[in-house]
Amino acid sequence: MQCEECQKNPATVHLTDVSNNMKREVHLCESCAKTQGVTIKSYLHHKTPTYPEILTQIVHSQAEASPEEKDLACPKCGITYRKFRSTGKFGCPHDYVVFKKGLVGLLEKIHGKVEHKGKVPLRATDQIQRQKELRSLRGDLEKAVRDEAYERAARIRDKIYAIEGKSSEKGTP
Amino acid sequence: MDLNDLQTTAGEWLGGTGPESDIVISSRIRLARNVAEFSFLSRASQKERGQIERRIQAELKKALPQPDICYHSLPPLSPVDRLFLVERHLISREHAYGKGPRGVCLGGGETISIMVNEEDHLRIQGLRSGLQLRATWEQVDEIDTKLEKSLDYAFSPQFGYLTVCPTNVGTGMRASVMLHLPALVMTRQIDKVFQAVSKINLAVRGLYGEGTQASGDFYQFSNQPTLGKSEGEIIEMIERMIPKIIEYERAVREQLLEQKKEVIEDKVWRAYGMLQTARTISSEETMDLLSAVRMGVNLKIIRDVEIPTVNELFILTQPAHLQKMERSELEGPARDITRATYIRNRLTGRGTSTHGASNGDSKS
Repeated sequence: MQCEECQKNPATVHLTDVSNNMKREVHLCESCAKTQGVTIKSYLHHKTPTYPEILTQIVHSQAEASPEEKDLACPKCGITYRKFRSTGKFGCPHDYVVFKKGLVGLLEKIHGKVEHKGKVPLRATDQIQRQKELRSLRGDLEKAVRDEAYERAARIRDKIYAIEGKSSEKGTP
Repeated sequence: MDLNDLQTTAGEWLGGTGPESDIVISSRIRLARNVAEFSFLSRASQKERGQIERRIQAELKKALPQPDICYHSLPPLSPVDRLFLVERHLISREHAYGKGPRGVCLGGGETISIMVNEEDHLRIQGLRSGLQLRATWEQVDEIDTKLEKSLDYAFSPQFGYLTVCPTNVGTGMRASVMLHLPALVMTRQIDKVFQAVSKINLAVRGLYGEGTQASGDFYQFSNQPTLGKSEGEIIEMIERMIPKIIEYERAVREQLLEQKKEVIEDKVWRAYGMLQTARTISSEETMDLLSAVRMGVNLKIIRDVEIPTVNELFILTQPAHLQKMERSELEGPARDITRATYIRNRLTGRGTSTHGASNGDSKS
C-alpha cells in the first residue's frame, strides 16, 4: 500500500478513525506521518479517543535510537532494531535484553512506567530469589577475602556453588 | 463440546444476569503469554508454529478439567465456523483469518477462551456477564497459574511478561468492560466520556475490539498501559471509572424521559415495530434498532421482551450465526430475509429457540 500523502513510499502508519458510525482509514509512510504529526494529533483530539493504532504509530515513529542501535541485531532471532521499529513487533524474548537501551524510553512513552509490578511466575520467583541470594553471598565473599577470613570465605564459596549448582540443574541461566 | 452445540446456547455473558447488566454487557480479562523456549510467532516457521501448538495443547489438556474444556484447531474449520467464533467474542478477527497452525480452547460455558498462536503464543481470556472484572480475573489467574507450572513463560523481572508487541508487556493484561450507551450517543454526550477516559489512559473500542465500528451503541473500555501497574491496580482503575459512566448514562436516560418523553418513546416503539414487521433487514439496521429496543426494555417502555432475548438477538442475527442456523451458505440478500424472519419470530413469540428461523415466514 502506498502512502496517501507522498504517493511514493510504502504506507506503514495506519490510522483508523471511527466516529458517528463512519469508519475512515488513513495510510501514511513514516516520514509523512512525522511531518503530519500535528494534523494527526488534532484529528484525534477532535474526533476520537485514543486507539491502539495510535500506539502502533508511536512505536513506528517515536522510538528514539542512535544510528548504531538501529543496526543492532538480536543474536538469537536475527531481528534488527530497525526492523522492530518498522513492524512494532519483537522476534523473541531475548530482544528485550538486546534492545533494552532504546526500549526503556519507548516503554515509558507507551506505559508511563518501565518497571513491572504485579504477578510473577512461581519459577521466576525462585530464580529472582536465587539471584538475590547469590548477589548477597558474593558481597559477603568479597568482604571475607578482604578481612582475610579464609575459612569463612570457603564456607560462603561452597554455599554459592550449591546455589549455582541447583540453578543449573533446573536449567535456568 | 461441538461448535454446533454452542449455537443453541447463548453463553453466560449474554444472560444479562451480572451486576449493572442494564448498561454493562460484559467484563473481559485477557492475558498475553509466551513460552520461553520458542521464538515469538512473528519469527516462527510453520513447523515451529505446529510444535508450539502441540506443546500448549498438551499442557492445556493436563492443566484444565475435562470434559468441560474443548480444543478447536482453526485451519480445518470452515470460514463460517470461524466467523461464528468471532461473532461470539471467543476469538479475534485476526485469529480467524490468520495463517498456519492455531486454535482455541473453550470452556466454562464460554466464560473461558484460550487462543493459541494468535499474536502471542497464548491469549487467555475470561468473559462474564455484567460488571464483574474481579471474578473474571480470579478465574483467568487460576488457569494461568496452573499453566505456568509446566510452561516456562518468557518473563523478565524488570519488564514482566514479555510479549510480541511492546504495548502488551508487563502484566500482559487487558481488562475491558463493554457498555451499552444509547442515551449518551443520542444526546451526543459520548464525546465527553471519551475525553474523560482518555485522560486516565483508558482506550475505547467498538463491539468487536481493535479498529471496529461502535455499532449498536456498544463501547468497550479497557486499560491502555499494561506495564508498571499490578493486575489489581488496573482493575481498580477501571472499576472506579465505569460506575461514573453508568451513572451518566442513567441520568441522561432519566432526563430524556422527563423532557422528551414522546421523542424517546417514539424512537423505541418505532424500532420495536420495525423489528416485528420487517421482511428484509441488514445487520447494521438490526443493531441500531435492537439498541433502541434494549434501552426501551430497560426503561420499562417495552414490557413484553426480556433483556436476555435482546442480548441474544444482537449475536444470533449476525451473518455466521444465521448461516449456521439455516445450515447453508447464504448470500447478503437471502441473509437479510432470514434475519428479518428470525427476529420477527423471536419477538412475536413464535420461535423461542435458535432454530426458530427455519419455521419460515409465519406472521403474515
